[in-house]
Amino acid sequence: MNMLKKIIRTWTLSELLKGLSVTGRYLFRKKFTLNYPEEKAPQSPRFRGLHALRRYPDGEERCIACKLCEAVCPAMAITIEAAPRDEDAPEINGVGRSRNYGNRRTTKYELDLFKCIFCGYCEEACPVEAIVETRVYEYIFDGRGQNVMTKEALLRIGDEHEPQLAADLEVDGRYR
Amino acid sequence: MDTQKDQVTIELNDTRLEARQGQMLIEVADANGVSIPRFCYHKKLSVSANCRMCLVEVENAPKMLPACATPVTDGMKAWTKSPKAIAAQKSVMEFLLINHPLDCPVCDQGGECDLQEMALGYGGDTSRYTEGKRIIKEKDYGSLVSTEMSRCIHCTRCVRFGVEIAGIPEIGGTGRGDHMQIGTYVQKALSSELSGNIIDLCPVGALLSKPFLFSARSWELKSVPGVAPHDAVGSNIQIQTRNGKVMRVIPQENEAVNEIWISDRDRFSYLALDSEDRVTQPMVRNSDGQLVETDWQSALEAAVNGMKMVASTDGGGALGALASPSSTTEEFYLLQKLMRGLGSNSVDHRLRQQDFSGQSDQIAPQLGTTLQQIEQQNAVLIVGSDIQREQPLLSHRIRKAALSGAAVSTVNPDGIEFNFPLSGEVVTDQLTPALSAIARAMVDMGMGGDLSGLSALVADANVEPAHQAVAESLIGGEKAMVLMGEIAYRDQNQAVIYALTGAIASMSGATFSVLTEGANALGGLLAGAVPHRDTADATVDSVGMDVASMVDMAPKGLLLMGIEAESDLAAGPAAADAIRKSEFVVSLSTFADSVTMGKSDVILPLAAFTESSGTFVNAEGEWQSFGGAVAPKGEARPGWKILRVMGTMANLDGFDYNSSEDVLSEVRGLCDQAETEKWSWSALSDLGDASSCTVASTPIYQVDSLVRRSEPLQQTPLAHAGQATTGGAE
Amino acid sequence: MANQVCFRNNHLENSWTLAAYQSSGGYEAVKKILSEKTSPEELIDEIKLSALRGRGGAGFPTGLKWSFMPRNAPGQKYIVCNSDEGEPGTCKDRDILRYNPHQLIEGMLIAGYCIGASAGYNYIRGEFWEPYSRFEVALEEARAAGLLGDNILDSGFDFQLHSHLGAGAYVCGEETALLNSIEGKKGQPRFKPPFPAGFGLYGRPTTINNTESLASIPVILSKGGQWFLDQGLPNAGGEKLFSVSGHVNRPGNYEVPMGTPFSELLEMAGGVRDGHQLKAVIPGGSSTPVVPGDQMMGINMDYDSIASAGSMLGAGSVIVMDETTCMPRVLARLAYFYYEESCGQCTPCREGTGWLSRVTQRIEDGNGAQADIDLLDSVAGNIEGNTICALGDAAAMPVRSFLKHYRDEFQHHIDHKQCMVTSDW
Repeated sequence: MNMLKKIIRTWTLSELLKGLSVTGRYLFRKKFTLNYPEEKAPQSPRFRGLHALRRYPDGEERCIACKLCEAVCPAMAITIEAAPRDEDAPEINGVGRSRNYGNRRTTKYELDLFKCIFCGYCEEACPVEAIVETRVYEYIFDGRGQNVMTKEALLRIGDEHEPQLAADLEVDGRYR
Repeated sequence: MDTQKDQVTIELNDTRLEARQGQMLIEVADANGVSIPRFCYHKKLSVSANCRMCLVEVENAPKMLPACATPVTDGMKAWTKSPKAIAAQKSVMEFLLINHPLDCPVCDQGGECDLQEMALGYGGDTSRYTEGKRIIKEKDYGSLVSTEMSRCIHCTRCVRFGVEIAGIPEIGGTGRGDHMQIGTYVQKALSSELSGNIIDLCPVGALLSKPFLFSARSWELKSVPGVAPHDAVGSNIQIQTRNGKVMRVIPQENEAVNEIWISDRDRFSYLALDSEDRVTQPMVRNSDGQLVETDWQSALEAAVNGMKMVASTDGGGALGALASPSSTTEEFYLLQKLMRGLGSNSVDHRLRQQDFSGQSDQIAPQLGTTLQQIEQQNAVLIVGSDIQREQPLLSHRIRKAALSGAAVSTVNPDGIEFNFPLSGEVVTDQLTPALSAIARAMVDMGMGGDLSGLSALVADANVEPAHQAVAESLIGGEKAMVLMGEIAYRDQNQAVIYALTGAIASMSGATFSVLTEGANALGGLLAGAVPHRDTADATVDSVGMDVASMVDMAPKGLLLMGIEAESDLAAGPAAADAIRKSEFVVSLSTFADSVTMGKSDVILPLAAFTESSGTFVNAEGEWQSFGGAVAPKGEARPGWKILRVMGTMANLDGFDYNSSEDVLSEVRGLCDQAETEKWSWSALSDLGDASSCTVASTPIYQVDSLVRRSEPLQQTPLAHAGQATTGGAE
Repeated sequence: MANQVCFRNNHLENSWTLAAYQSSGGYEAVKKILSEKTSPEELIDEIKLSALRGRGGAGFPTGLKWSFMPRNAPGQKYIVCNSDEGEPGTCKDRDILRYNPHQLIEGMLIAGYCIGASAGYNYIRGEFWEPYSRFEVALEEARAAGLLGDNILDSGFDFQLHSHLGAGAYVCGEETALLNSIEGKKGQPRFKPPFPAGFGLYGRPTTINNTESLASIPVILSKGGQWFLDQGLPNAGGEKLFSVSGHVNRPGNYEVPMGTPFSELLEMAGGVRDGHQLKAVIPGGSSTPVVPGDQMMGINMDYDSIASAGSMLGAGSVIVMDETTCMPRVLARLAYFYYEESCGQCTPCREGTGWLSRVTQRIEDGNGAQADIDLLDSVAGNIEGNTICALGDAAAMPVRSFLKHYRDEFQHHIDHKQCMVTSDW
């Protein structure tokens, strides 16, 4: 009996047709493939790309040098030095000198992108939403040492992407 | 005897435990490893029971009882983790947190905070408190302690510390209820020499170390045990480092030495390590008279050749060596071994002593008893010592004795005040007549023995009631001690004062204690870094030059170890002149002071405290070894390594050590073989000038090169007070 | 029968003078004791017989308290009178000091004799300037008459008595805070044990009694313990002063026998404000739980009867409220009082009273949230029993009782942002 079924299936090419029907179905569906770099994949607000340090609207950097990101980083990619903000600190948009004098601030914030595994723990540990991961995933290094992101570089990235970052955090905020 | 009766059996969390009658529940729990959360309770402070965190359930008690204030009774049953106890603890935690700013990310205490830790166990994840939190304006406690009083949970540990330990009730609570603030009543800097301990006591981040502020997190720090290098107590410390840099110093508990306290000097002197005038490169003076940086090999060669040159032309006796009294025992030993190998007995570390005429009769400066036993004394006589500033933690032991009823009296110059009550006080500028009078009073009371050389002095003395009272209290004390301090030790009449003090001690049957400058004066003497004794008190064939003679005669070749001539020696400017007159000077220096830089022919960078391994022998005679916590700065090297290489290069035997432990075991071996000496009476030929006036004690923050360079210490009121009263003495 | 103990002389002219007091047999009791050298044990037994219970609020039997004193222990011992009458609603001790100070002096003399103390302090509330001055004058009179000082009436008994004016802290009415205050320290309660009987003023054995308790002593000893007992109830003898305040026609102090029905007391005070009905009564001072009016009308003014209504006799400070009273407002005011008067020593009270005050005020103002009532109850419950002294309980008990009996009013405040009983909001 089984033998008979098998013979019929073989000679009617039913399995082949079944397979081809799947192919045929996808032939007329919307395509998955993207024509990168002309087309980009959609990104979640939680996308974990290149890091950035954010500022408050008044220009003061958010980072308070609590070192929780440094402590939580499984790859030990983050190095922070802290000190009370001194009087000589440069003014940022008119604040910095007077208002934040004596506050806890970083004097060094370095992130080694070669070590980083983009786990996002730093972002999660941060109590002030200072260190975040942007949606940027296209970057290159063309020289030795560029893999170590300095505080200035991180702040610059933050400034560049602030509207997007703020919007993403807003969306994600209710799950935190 | 009574021990059996004092034993009670209690049941804690359904486990039967033995306890002593009258012990508090929390002590029994601690002793048996049962953890009870607490904030205000501290084993070294009185019980105040105000934080209410340690509430536990006790059988038959209608309410939860604070474990810290509940004495155990036989058959008591208590539960620390019953639902009721946990509920009470959680409710207290909620109350503590409602007004706490919860600013852990910017708080230095984060990671080592009792409140943080307890909140993890007993706190809720959300707050039911929606009102505004209490904010308290920052208070200025001076250069050592930073405050953030909004974080305060009013446990009053700092208040009790001020009253009970520091003896200066500087901190207190003002205001009532929710408005209560802990502060210094009137804005002022803390003036206690132990004030830094409130940083450790504070269970939250309200009181923090100002110099350490924001510079590191507790979890980044590596802790290395060490010994504090400023006084003869030898306080045990933890040197905490990060990336090869000393970040802070905290106390290490050692009940026999420093209990759990350290003085501010011990805590904040590390700040000098980063001082800009550190010597970090070997330097040699070239033919133009300019110091040029060079490598170790050529610097060492220049040093050894120069010294050998002096020795060969003028004989070994033309060489002299001076070492800081806070050098390690290993350094002392190798230094004297080097000098004696080169043919000179002129090695000394007693930099502030002026009278050496009695040195051969005197024993090493030591306590004669243990630090812990000081607390049990019934009578203490302090001769020529600002003990509270000289040896802060030893003074704390005397304070404990005084508070438990001991009669403490002093023979001191005017203007020295202590934080403990004195039963008798002889205020004098001249120690000799005062001590003679006390001795005379004792003789008159029939305690006299053979005073031989002193008899004339004693017989002439004029006994006043104050002297009589001191004599009586000493004789009356079952356990008595006579403590001779730095002021007496530095006196120009030291030999006579020493003999008189010793005579008073022996007549009254009291322990004779001698304490002097530096962290390792006893180690220096045991290692033989003195002109009149070899290692382990062995005799020498000819007595070399002591500090005073070296200053007078300016030896042709000088080896200086860790010395700043102008500030470290009693003779000060004269000593600097002597060094300038010397033909060849080798300096093992940590800091570049003007005399060293101006004169030295060879400068060898010496590793500082925390950078070198070694051993200090404290006043009690306890050998305390420690390792280096960080690598020496720049090209600096530990003293024992420098001296070892110098010994080898000078072709001397017995300098092939591999480690400082090798050196230590050699000294220790020699000392252990030697008999322990007891001071015995011997005649005095020279009675000195009885009318000479005493010098003041070295100000607390001027004692050595480290504290002088610790900026925050120099900004304290105590540093200024020292300058005001004794500034002219140096 | 009324006004037989502490107020027995109030009808006399210038009743606060020594002459007036002596005219009604004053100082006879102490004279008799000192001349006959009656043994302290005998006196204490007499006081035990009288079933005099402490009038300060806790109601601890006075005779028993005295018998705890290590009377024969060497060294100084003290008797301290607690006239720091800070409980809102209470003003009975003030009138004893004003109208009958000598009876208090005599009572303290006898107490000193019984417990072996040769020195006494009367700690008077900071706001009581007039009573303080009058008591000082009485002290001078007594000293001049040889009734205070060394070798009183040639009996060989020495007794020094001083008055001490507080600085206006409610918490100093707590006995150990009071001792700290006399010693010149911050008025904060000490934790117990040790109890004052072992370690009290300046570390010496000390007995602390309320003004009214001490002032009752001379009467007990002159008329006999049995007489005193007969005035009141078997477990609480004598007459008690009640300070009736609030919405009554004749507020004031009334000395009536223990166990007098509340309705009678209310009648003496002229009844509830004209045209109004009784709504609620706080029977023992602001820290005792509130009792609804109708329940109160059925009970008597004594320890057990009031306890059966879930409240306490306390210091006998009866606060009467009529139907126009907004209970959330009353509670907000009380909570604010305890918030301001917390000494700040221990955590639950320092932090909790502020919390209670803010939340009650929020409800009163109509800004309360639904969860606030349960929050109040829970916070009060967390304070209760967890503090060093009784002030924490004192702050928590009114909150819980108000919520128990008048929860609907609080709910109304939250739901409708307005009061359900008064338009004056």
